[in-house]
Amino acid sequence: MSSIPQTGVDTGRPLTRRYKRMAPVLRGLLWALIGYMVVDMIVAFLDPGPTHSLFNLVSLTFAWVGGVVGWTLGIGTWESVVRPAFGYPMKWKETVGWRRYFEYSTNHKVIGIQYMVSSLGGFIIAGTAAMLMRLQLMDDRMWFFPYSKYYLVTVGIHGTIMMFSVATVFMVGGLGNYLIPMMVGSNTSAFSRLSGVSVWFVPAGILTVAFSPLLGAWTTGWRGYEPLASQDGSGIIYYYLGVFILLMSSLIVAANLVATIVFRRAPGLTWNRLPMYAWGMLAVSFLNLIWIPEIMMTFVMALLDKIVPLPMFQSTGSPLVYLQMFWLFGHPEVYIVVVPALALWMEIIPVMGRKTLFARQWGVIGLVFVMLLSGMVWAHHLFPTQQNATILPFSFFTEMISIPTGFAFMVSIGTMWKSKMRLNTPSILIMMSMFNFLIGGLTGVFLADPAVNMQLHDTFFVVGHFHYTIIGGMVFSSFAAMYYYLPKFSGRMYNEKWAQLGVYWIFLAFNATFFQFFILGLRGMNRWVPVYPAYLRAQNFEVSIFAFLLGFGFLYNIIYIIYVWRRGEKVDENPWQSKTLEWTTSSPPADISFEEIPTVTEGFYDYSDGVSTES
Amino acid sequence: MSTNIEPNFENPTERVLYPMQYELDKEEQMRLRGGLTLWLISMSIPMVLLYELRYVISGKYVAPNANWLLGLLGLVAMVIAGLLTSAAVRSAKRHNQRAILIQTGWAFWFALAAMVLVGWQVCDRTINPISHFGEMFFVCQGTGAFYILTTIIAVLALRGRVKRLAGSIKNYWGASATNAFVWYVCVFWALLYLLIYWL
Repeated sequence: MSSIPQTGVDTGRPLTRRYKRMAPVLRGLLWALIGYMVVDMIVAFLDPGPTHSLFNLVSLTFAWVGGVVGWTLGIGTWESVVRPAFGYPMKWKETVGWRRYFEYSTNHKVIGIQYMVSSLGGFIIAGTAAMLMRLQLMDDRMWFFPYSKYYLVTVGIHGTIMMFSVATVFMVGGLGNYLIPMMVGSNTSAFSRLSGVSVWFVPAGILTVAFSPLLGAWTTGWRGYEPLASQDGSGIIYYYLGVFILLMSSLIVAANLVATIVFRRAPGLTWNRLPMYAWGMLAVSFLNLIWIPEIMMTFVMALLDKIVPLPMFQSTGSPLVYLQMFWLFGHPEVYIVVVPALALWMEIIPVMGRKTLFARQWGVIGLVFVMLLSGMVWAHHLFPTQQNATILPFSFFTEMISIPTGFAFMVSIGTMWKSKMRLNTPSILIMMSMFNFLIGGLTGVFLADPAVNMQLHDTFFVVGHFHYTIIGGMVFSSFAAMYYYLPKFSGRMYNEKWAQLGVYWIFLAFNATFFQFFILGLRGMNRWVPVYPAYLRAQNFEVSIFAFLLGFGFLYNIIYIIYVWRRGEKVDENPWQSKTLEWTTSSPPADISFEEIPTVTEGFYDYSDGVSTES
Repeated sequence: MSTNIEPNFENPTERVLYPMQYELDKEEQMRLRGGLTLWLISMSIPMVLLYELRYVISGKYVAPNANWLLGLLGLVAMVIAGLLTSAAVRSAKRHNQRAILIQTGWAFWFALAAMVLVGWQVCDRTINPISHFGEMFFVCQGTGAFYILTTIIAVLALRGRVKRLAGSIKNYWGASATNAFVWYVCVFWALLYLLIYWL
């Protein structure tokens, strides 16, 4: 690696100046508060309305912008990005040590961990919301929430934060930022400055959504359906804005990852040799680049609908247009969530099986075709609003997309076939993920049939289906990734006994909870309602018990992973004898991953020769 | 593989450099061009959405009733801003920093004028927002104005760097990128202009 020149513009200011500054997170919060209040007051003052209310929809919208700008600048981008962009001296110096995880950084590994931690925060908040929902559903009458709208806003917060800050973020923003530069043999991501900014949008987005009910309950769920949203409390505007900033973060991640994979590959790392997880990130990032701007624009329109107000998605316009526009993004979103999981299966299985990856090309083709077809299936979410002429093509494409998805199963099972599979925690989790996702996928094919869909639409059967795909596919794979890469992240190894306890715990609790959702749905349990017929009470009660067990199981695994990260037993640098480039670095990797950029001479998945490493 | 723009992790107390203060090799230029192209393609998607908006929502033809002359003046101002940033790129190739400052200064004023002209009819209350034309008009004008605002920030940032870094500038990618973005917004606004005022 060539070293950078040593001097910028000399300002005469001492380099130690930054250490006198307030802690960046505190400063970010303070600046956010100041930005929020100042902008709110300015807009309220300029408000042409006769009352000049201090808090109105327009002022609160602009105040939020002021708050997010204040937060982002306070966290360190003022000195490190904005001032240098205008030619002022760069005064920001990256900290070494734990403090760097709480401020702006350009180190892709620090950014990856920041993304993972933010996403974990979202997981805990949204998981708590899920527990509250299950608490309410333990009885068939209103007993926990005083009004149904509070139940619905809890459902909305759960879904929104889970989808936009966990499912979309953890494996792409977190694992992607950490691993992809190392996987392609680079010391940095393509746009590390941008990436350092985008990660701080995630906590801003999570907090915006989590506190949105303070402005008034919104009852639309994670979809923000119109015209319901137009009749909801003002909190819906913070749903739009919170999701907007979360999506902006994912969009920057997408541009960064694509540019990293395309332009930062080590010499010899041809497309044929690109790691499967990098292929997955590439496919997902293209999906993000295409569909995120679409939904961001939709949310801007819905926001204007509320605050101007415009009639766009209400009675004057067409309420169904919003549904179409939401699901145009909404279904690709499912694949944005799942494709990294499919790629991870193909990444881990050959390592654990000590067997060459079976039909690698078909795995790549599968990922790419899932990406392409995912934009052609959105209207299956809207079958009850469609005519036969439009239902049938969407039904066809929905069933077709199971074919390239099946390629991931084919590659994974083909690799496992007659292999010497090590049945350790990551590989068990991968197999659990495959099992769960298979059920999610098969019930998806079932729901793609219009006649079945009409009967089961908006029942718990659908809830069971998508939880099997999202939790079963993505969350289980995320845990697999965490156990697999723990030695890389921390240089420490978990204990198989304690890890497998947590893994079997969540697998059993998950299936005991969500398999019953199918039965509940078939018995007539509807979504979006806190009260239900009395004959469903007993089953809902015991489903809630299993749901709590699942929640505690996730918590156990999270705490255990954090414990191992800090205090686990030290381990070799490449305990799995993996051949991909990230494992050729030290564990945990130094700030500069590769002292010398490696030259790749062959693919990474040939294990027919034993356990040797390359490059 | 060039890595000369990375922060210096080995010694984090050393200064890191600004954009424009290091030499760009061919690979770095490709990375920057590729990244910008990806970003602009991605940012075009809202435009496609806006372009279809009126007919998707109303399901029928909706006659425009905005003042086409104001819109045209805004478009002309934006094109002049684009011509000026193109001139700044040519000046950059000759390392004529004084000319860059003058040209970007004028580009700023023309882009600002474009934004005011684009935003004028949003504020003068001549168009009823509770109508199919009005709902489309406000969204498109607002988006157009936001994109123009970002060009203004980009032009000001370029100007600031040229003014303050002066002799230490080693590449003019910032000028090329700003120019590309200004022209991108020109095309964006030209298409929206046709949609809003004529089609």
